[in-house]
Amino acid sequence: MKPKLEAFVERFVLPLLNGAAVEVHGRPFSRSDGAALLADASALGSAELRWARRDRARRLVADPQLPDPSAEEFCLWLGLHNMLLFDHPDRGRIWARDAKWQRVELETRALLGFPDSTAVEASLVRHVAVGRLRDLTREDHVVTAGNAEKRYAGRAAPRRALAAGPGIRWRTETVRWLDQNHDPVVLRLLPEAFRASPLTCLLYPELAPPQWSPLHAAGFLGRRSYARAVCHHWARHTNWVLAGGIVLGSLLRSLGIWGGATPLGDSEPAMDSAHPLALPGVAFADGPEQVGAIVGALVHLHLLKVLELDARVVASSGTADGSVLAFLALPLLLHALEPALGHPLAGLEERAGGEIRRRWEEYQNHLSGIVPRSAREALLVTLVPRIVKKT
Amino acid sequence: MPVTLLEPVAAGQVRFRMQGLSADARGIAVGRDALLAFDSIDGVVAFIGAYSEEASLDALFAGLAIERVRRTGGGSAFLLRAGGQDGYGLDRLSRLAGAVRGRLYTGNGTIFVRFRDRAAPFGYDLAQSAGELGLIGKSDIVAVEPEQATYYRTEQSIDPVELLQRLSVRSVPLPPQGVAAAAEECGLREMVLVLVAPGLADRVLSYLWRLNAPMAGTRISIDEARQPALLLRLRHPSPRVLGVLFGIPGVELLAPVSSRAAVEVGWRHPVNLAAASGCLPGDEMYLFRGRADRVERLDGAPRFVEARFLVRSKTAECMHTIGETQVRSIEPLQVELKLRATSDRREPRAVLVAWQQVELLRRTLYLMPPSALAASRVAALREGVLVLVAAASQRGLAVGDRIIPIGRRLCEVAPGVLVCDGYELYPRVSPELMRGILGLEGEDKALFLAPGRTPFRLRSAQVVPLEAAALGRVQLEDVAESPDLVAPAPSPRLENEQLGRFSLWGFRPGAS
Repeated sequence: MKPKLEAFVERFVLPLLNGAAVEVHGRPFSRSDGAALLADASALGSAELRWARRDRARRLVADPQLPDPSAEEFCLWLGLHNMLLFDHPDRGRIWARDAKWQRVELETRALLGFPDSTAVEASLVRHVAVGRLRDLTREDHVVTAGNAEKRYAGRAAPRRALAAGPGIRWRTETVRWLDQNHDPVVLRLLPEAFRASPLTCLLYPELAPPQWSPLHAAGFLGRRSYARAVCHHWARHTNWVLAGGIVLGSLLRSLGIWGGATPLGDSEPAMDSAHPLALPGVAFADGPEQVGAIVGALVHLHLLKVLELDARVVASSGTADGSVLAFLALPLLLHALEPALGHPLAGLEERAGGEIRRRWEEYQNHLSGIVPRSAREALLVTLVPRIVKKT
Repeated sequence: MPVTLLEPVAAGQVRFRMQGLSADARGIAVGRDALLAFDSIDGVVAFIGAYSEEASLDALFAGLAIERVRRTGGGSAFLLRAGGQDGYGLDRLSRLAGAVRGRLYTGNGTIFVRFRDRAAPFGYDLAQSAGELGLIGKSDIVAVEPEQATYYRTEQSIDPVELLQRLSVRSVPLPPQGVAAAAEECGLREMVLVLVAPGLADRVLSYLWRLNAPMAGTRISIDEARQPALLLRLRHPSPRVLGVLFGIPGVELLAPVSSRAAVEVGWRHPVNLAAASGCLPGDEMYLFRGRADRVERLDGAPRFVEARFLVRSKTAECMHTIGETQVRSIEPLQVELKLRATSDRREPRAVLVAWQQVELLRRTLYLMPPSALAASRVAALREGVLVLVAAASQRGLAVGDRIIPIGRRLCEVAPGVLVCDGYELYPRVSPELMRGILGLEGEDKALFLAPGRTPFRLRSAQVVPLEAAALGRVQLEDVAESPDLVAPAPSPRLENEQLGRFSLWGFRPGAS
């Protein structure tokens, strides 16, 4: 019989990383279970696990530097397993009182509750794990009889259900797990899981929990390879304007520039607004370097869309939101930001860059017709001084 | 009670439940693709025909796919898929599709929702997510109406260009006054193509030659006949000629509808072919014959030859021995052909780049559009590199000195005769005579690089295509498989195994 840790890695961790069938069964894990499993940690050093982690990380950057699998990372896997278990359709069959389930939820929250870290490599490891939640799918078997319908989530329908009568029909549907209706406990735990991975929140700002700030992941934008990966990832968003608006709105809110009364509309992160029960109390640096890295990346996002000839059409929609307007105003603040951030077109040769310059100026003129003057001036007196210090 | 699948989009709405939908400049929900559904192929043809009357088919055909599909509930249909991110273009598609009993949807490639109508001026969005509505995984394409969804399975793909070529022309009534008196209405006022059966070719040619009709012709092989048929091009045909030719069995009058297609008089193609010149593949020309019910495809634009070379002459009978005549020398009349300055502007047809500027020319190659690069030819002279560029009228491009802004420009004063810019040849003899004087044959060129210098003869064999001359040889290496390749990974799939009733027994919270 295989050791438990090796079985857990083979049946849960590796399929989640490699994209195979992830089995959720058995009992939840507690921290003491995790410590017991780690008594023989040889499975964490397996070449297959290292290769799978590196393969996932290389989806983002070409040459990721990943630390060895650690107990902290293992706890994150256990927490994700417990969270998926809460969504199990058979949960009601288990003989346990509500108090017991509450203890399981507290344990899961403890497994997912990591202290915030500014180390890029450690955050990348968390993204490798948590980022797969977004890709996770589920194959549902749906049995219909007339107008009635029963859905077997992530499992095959029992034979007795298919043989119940002549009018029975069944079909399979592959759905994205994150988009489905979840157990209330899962809805409480999901923000915890995403809070553990600042990089995932930066790449998918619409999934970020409340009170999230891009400053948590500003370290990534300070490195050229990661900054390029993040900007191109944003540019692939269908609604990149909204993604940029959420990032900038969260930044302004965390800097205290926007109070809680500022209407955010649709740019509020889509996650449930339940407040965390315990926040790791780490203060993040919000100096000119960090704020400038985020704003510079957002300006670069504008430039990427201008190069794709995709900017004018998209930027003309969804401009009623304050965060989106602030995001669209960034290219118009370049003259003020240039002393600290430089110009995105600097370094281009005159002949080759002429066409790009012309399109960039056209884009700026287009934006100046969309963004109200008041929005620009508000950012000039609030955001710009946080980046450009007067000498 | 019917389930509501779609709900109208509100003004200013930017988030949609359906993936791939976005709001355009007017706030209308549009997807990446547009889907038009028709019950029969007649509707498809009628739609393309109606579209061609309003706009060019080139842009539509660029992303168009026609599919014959099977409905899940039974019956077949025809689907047109086109790019659909332009709200104004979709409005046009919707209007034309509605006129021919078709339906327009917009979506993301698999799921399509109904396009906007009077009830929902900003379009429709799914009432719930696609997974909750059970729209995913059932079929290739789902077209969602407000209260029902139609599932399609693709059976056959139809090439739109092939469909265009296979359509039969339709008979249209001729003007009551006849073809001869109504050449303008029949589209024959400027030019007419006459397709003559092989047995009648000589007689028709002789008749037209006697009438001194301005014509040119060529022989083409059609209908697997042993002898080639005669295709004549008549410019500004007289009513009398049209009246006579139209009544001869075996002679067909074809009206050119575009540079690539001609349709027989008295017939009409279902699609306005003038709007489809760019989307037809290759350089072929198509002759749509109504009475024969055939489409003749010529391998290129026919190269017509002057009719005087086609007419069977009786020169051999008339030849006689030339007697000795007293011919005096015309040497006193001979003048020298020389260059003189002129203020007339001509389109540059070549540039001579000095060897010192070759590096600049090499860099310029990177900026040249592919069509201009393919149309340019080059020759290496002692004075520099001569680049011959295509005329703007031939390529539809602004080429010449705008593409290669360096070197000395040369203009063409006669076919194949290039002189330096700002000069012309004097005296002004006719272009044909000038070629004869200079002894030019075929594609040979004569170069007058500067006044007072001896002109050069550039033979066609000395000229090579620019793109072939500019590129160095690239040695390809075999691909070596690398184990580090990042292959696209599938998504993980959640499987819920059956849980036991005692799964939580023995659960001990807390750290050890």
